[in-house]
Amino acid sequence: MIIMTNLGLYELTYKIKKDKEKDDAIMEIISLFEPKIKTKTKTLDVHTGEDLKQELTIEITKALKRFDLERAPNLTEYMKNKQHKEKEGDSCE
Amino acid sequence: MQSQMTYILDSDFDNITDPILRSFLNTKSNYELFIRAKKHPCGENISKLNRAFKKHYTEIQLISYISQLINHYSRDFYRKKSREKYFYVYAFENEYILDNKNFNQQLENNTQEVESLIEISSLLEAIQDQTIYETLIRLTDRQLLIINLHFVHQLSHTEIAEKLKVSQQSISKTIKKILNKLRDSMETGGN
Repeated sequence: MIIMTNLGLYELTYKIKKDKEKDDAIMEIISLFEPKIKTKTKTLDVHTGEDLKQELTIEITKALKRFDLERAPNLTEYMKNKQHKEKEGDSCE
Repeated sequence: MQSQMTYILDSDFDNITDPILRSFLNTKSNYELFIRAKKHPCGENISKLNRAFKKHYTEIQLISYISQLINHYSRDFYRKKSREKYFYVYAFENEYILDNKNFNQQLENNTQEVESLIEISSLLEAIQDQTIYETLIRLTDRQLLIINLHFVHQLSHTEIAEKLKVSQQSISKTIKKILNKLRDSMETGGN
C-alpha cells in the first residue's frame, strides 16, 4: 500500500536525492506515472509487464538521483532568456 | 535585470501568453505570490516568486524527463525482449538436438544452395511442353524454387515460407503470379 503524501514531484525528487524515505518517494512517483506505464505494459503479458515496471522503477530512481534540481531558471532568468530569444527572433526576420 | 521583472509584474494575467508562465500562475499560491510581488516589489517578495517559479519549472522538467525515460526505456525493453525470444527459441531447440542431429543440420545448411539447384532442375526436367519450359526458364531462381517445392515436393505454402524464412503471404503471392504468367504464356503460345 502506498501512502500518498501529496508532495509535488520536486519534493519527492529531493527526497530521493537525499536518500530520505527514498522507497516511499519512488513508489509515489511511480504511482503518479502509473497511467503512462500502463500504456507501455498493456501490450505485454502479466509477468513481462511486471518486469518492465520493476526495471522502470530502478531506472527512474537512478535517473532522478542524477537529476539536477538547481538547473531550472528562476523567474527573472526565465524572463531574461525569453526576451533574449525574442530579440534574436526579431533580428533573424 | 529589474526591467524584466517590472515587465512581467506590470503585465496583466490575461495578457500573458507564455504557457509556462500561465501554468505557473494557475496555481493559487503562486498567483498570490505574484500579486504580492506586484503590489510590493521588494527583494523578499521577488525572491519568493523566483523560488516558486524555479520549483514549478523544475517540476515541468521532471515530468518530461521521466516520461521520456519511460518511453525510451520501454522501447529498448521491447527490443530486448523480442531479441531474447528469438534466442530462446534457438537455445530451446538446441537442448534437444543431439550432436548427430546438429551435424546434420549444419550439413543441411551448407548444402542448401546445392540442394535448391537440384530442386530447380528436377522441375525443369519434368516439363515436356515447350511453351511452359520457355516460360519457366525465364523465371528467377527463387520463383523456380518455390513452385518446385510446391508442385514437385508438395510442400504447403506455410512450409515453404518457413523454409525460406519469409511470410506465407509472400509465397502465396509469388505462386499466384507465376501461375498467371504460365497461363498467359500458354494462351499466347497456343494461338
